[in-house]
Amino acid sequence: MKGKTIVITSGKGGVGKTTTTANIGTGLAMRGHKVVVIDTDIGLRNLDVVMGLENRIVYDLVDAIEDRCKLHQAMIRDKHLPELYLIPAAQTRDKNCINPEQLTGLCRKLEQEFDYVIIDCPAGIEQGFKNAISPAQEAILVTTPEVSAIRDADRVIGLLEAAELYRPRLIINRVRPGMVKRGDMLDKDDIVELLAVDVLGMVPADDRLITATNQGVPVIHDKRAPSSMAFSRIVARIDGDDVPMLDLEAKTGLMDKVRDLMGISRSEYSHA
Amino acid sequence: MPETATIQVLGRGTNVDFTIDDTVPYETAARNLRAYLSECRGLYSKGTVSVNVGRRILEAEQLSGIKRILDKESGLTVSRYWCAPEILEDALIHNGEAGTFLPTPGDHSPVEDLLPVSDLPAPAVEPQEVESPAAAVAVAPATAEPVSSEPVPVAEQPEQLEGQQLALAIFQPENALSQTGPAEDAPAENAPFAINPENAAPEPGEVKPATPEEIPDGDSTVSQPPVSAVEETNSEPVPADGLAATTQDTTEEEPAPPESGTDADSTPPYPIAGDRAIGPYRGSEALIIKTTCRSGEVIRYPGDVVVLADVNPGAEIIAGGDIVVLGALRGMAHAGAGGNLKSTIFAMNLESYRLQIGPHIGEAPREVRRAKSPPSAAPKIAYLRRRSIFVAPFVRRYEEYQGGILYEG
Ligand SMILES: Nc1ncnc2c1ncn2[C@@H]1O[C@H](COP(=O)(O)OP(=O)(O)O)[C@@H](O)[C@H]1O
Ligand SMILES: [Mg+2]
Repeated sequence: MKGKTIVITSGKGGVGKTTTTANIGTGLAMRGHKVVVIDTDIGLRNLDVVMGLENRIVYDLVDAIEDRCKLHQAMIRDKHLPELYLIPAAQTRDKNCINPEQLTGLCRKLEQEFDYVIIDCPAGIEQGFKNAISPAQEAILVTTPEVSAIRDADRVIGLLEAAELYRPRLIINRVRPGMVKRGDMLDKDDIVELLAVDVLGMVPADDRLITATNQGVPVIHDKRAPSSMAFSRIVARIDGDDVPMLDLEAKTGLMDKVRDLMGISRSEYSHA
Repeated sequence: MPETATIQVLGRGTNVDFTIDDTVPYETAARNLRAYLSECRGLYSKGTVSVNVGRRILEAEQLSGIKRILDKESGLTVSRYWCAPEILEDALIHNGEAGTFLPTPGDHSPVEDLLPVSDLPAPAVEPQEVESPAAAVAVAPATAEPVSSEPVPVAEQPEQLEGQQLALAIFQPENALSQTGPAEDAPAENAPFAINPENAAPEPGEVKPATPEEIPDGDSTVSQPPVSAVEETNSEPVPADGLAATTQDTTEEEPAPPESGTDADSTPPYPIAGDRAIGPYRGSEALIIKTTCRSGEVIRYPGDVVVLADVNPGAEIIAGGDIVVLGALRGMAHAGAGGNLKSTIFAMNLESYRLQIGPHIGEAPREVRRAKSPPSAAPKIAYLRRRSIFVAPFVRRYEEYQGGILYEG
């Protein structure tokens, strides 16, 4: 079995990389895949918190890389999904304590065992970023509809291309449909026009996501949360499903409800 | 053969490699470097450069000659010198007197093998570090106070290196390509000298620039050799105010392809992460960029630059000649950086609020900035008239532009 390594990156901090990693990892595992998520934000770990696994940590990524433990000892099994594992970041070290070759070596090993290796990348474009992108065969870029985040995303696309990670796919997070409608928030087309990449999906700003995060349960488990549905569609697309556009889904009726919930019109999300 | 034909520009982004086909003696190489920099005056004004002397032995006088040329002709600040470790050892053996001779190029071994001369500890007092021969070398004047009469390389405030880092690589094409080991048998006379990016220093993240597998295929999508020639601007470069445009007579000649043409067209010796490769500069040819120029990318090119995509905010294009953008121009564009005030900036969507031609900067008037939607999509051209930049609709033929909106400087 040969898995695939995907890095979740953004440039700017706080746009939702960790949230996205947790939900994509969880979503892929819910679809029956063997998944491992890796927190490479050494010194600022929080993927473990978002996944509710914080107090199960014994060994971490750096321990595994420096051979202080066996690889599987650094892998924490998820509470809900037996085929989902987390490798937490070290909290007491810094990003320079590992290098791209080491992380790549580790991921190559994991790919033998897992269908998906998902890497949560730290903010910035320095060493931690270089480490995180080096093992990846694919990159997913997270941005919010704000100019500063989009500038950083643009910069990161350039760096990804330079590292031969072409055509990263974009997730636009924390979209407020009401604001987009009023023209107070950049819409998808504005963003795509500038960044010239494919959109993997859009995730609405969602209070239920915050609640879920605080409880240490990825929101994708909460089937009624709007962001959960958005992540499910994203996961399906990553997994190779040709998930129809939202306006086609409208025929199911369910999406009409979602749309009402999110207060948006059909056309706005027509390509989401 | 025009001297500038021996110069190639290989980097893109904040790390640029100049490559001089240096099968020639030192004097010729130095003359070529001077001619090239003089032709491209204005392009490199803000950068710093570090000099990598590689594996060839250069006399101190020659080294300071290089430094003088760079200081005088380019506006670049030489910040540091590098050389290959084994050469330092040789230099010691040959000369004893450290500092009289400095080792140099020929070497295209991985950049990280090269030690920063100026970073070396002072003289060989501490033999415990000798696994790297260079550690023993007394050459490094780094710790010494920079004495102005001292012809030996001096580290000039390496801390200042935040600016754009430029790299000059002057090397022998035969040796240059994907050679990862030291070229033991390279005859000293033919050995090149190289000036490399300071920040290609051993940093774990980007340590492998020279390993063969890192070198992109010649035709990889990042590699952008200039593909077609564009008519050279028919005007004589006009000296810009404050720019001593000592245009070399060689600039107007039709440059013959460099002897090293075929070599040079293939892989650059050490592509650096974050860069796209730029093909060799051949005088009158335009550089054609086929993918979006993204935030943080800097493209410097002595001739015309054509972008078949967008130039995003945060990207910079600095061209000696014209800039033509067949997408949206939203980043920084500086045409005529070499002093040619007849240079223009054309874009299908000209959306930058700040433009520069020669030394003159123009900012879009308030109406344009305030406009809720970007300026209309009609193609526009920015040109200079009496030191002011105007942006006018583009009318069919290149020379027929007039009027337009004043972008005040
Ligand atoms: N779609 C969303 N709606 C509401 N809050 C969100 C959303 N996405 C992320 N957040 C919140 O934003 C904050 C930053 O998210 P995080 O995933 O940690 O970003 P990063 O890893 O990029 O720094 C967290 O508090 C998270 O709960
Ligand atoms: Mg994070």
